[in-house]
Amino acid sequence: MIDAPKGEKPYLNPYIGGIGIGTILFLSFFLIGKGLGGSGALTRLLAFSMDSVAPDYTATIDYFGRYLGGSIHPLDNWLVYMLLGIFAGGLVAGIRGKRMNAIMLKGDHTTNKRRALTAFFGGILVATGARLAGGCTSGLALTGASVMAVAGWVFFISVFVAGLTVAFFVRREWL
Amino acid sequence: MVAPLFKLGFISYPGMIVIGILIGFAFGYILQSVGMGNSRKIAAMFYGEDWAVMRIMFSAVVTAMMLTFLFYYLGLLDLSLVQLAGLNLSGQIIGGLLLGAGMVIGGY
Repeated sequence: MIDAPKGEKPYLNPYIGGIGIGTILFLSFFLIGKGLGGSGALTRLLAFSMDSVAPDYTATIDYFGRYLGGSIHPLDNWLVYMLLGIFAGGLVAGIRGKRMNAIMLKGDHTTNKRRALTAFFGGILVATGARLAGGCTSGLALTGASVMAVAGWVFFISVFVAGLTVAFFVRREWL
Repeated sequence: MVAPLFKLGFISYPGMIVIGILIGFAFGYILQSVGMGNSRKIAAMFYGEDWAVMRIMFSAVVTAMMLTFLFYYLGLLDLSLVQLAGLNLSGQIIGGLLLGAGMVIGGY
């Protein structure tokens, strides 16, 4: 088991955390009619940023164009408000749990440089995968699986098939 | 049917914004508290060294599922109004494989 780094508060029990997240997800369905999500807001943020810098070019890309040009601002969206909350909630939990130190989390047999490279390329794969699938671990896997949506489970299983397979090749980075 | 409250007009647009921020706050707070800000903990799941991610994920899915279907069968929640990602089989398989690979390489 991986414990919190020295000096930080121990992590919350995962079952309690899971029940909390499940309750929040239900409230999100019941109150608003939408699920949780992380990646959609970032796409909107990117569309908005690109539109501010190069509006003509951005309008030619369908992928970003659909968020722009309408009467609704691209950042005026449920997922964007939620992302603001996620940032604030994570920050408060980080401060309360004494997790505000700048540290490089990595395996014992790898270097900081390698860890920075794996984080960068892993991040590109995660972002590309999330946009191809139309959601990330929270938007598709968690939200979709909770209502037995086929999309959610197909995605969930694919994530684990690739994760468990690729794990074999990057073992040295973590263990 | 009374829910989803926002879709049926019981919650105003500014109310939706406040709820979005509050729900996000709770989500972010819990994710950080259980250690989902720790890449080693996430990656360790793929080596069978740490089961936190699975425990969180499945207890969240089961909790949300029970509450959602309870309210659905009580006739309070109209599930057809809940907005979900549609099925896009090739996108979700290829996207899931890329995301899973990225998750174990990058740790998030």
